[in-house]
Amino acid sequence: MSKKHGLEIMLKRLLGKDSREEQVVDGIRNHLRLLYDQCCLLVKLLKDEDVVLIERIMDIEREGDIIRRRVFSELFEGAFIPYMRPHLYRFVEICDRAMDTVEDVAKYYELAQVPSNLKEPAVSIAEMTSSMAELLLIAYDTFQKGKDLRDQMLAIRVYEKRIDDVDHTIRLEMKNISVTSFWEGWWLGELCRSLSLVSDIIEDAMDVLSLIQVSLR
Amino acid sequence: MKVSEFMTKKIECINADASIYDAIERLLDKRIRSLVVKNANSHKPDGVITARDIVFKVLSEGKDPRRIKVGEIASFPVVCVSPDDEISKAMRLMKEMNYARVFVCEGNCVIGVLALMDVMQASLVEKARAGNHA
Repeated sequence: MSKKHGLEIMLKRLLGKDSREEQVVDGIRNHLRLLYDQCCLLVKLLKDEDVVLIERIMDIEREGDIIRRRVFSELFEGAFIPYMRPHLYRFVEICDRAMDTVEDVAKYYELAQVPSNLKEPAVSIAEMTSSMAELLLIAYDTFQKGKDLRDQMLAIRVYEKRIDDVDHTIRLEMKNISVTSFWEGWWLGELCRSLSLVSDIIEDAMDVLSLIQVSLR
Repeated sequence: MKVSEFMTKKIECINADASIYDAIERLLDKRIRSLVVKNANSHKPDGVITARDIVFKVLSEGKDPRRIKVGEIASFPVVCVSPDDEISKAMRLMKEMNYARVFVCEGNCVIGVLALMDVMQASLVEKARAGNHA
């Protein structure tokens, strides 16, 4: 029996038999799907400046919380072998933190005025972050099939590096922006910080998923 | 995958009348390998000067970089692709012409650059996206 085939059987055993396990697996997928939807809405918010979307982004974060609690409860009630549970908890927690941070961006967007020279790089970061969320979802599907996650991991690192470069440009530009009050500057700073933080968190989530896969070999 | 997704929007420009020394200073300061060359006459298309041009056409020839103007050794016009072109088209062009980068233009205006590293990253991402269909 090949190594890959063995891993696939093990994953099927771990991920596919019991309905409790199935609920966890489906719950995590829905959670990742929500993260991707939320990132897409963030792109639209920054691009079209449609503040109505802020409420929707916050709603998605709440939906994410509900799924997270349900997944945690299934895990607590005994889904998966004890060895797997902490890793799955951690993965879901990190994805949830990514959703919280997207919500933060939307909230700060409501408070801060994004100067015109920062709009284009901010949209660019949001677009790349949404691509990363899509890749994380693809990676999860690939993981379920028992296939190698190397491609998705590399692609996520590519985006992370590109986001770092744009983030650096934003920071350089920010030096020249004049603000009228402490809070105006604070909100804008937090908006930019949170915006680039989402990609770091998605990268962390990808690392944990990859570790789970390695630990199953 | 479109060129606009992976092009670098940050481009540095230099005047064709500037000296090669100025160009070297700018390349080292910004840690980049090429500069878009602007003519004083705005109707003329933009050109490009690369680190390779400077090393092969000036430094290795023992010429004084302070006495040579950027316009004398730059290549005109730049090779352009549209932001809506597929990366594969840009890649073919780069291979045929043996270029390390192509510029992304809208009309006569250069809005970005697509280098070999960007093409490599784009192909990686494309492969990763195809993961769930494989």
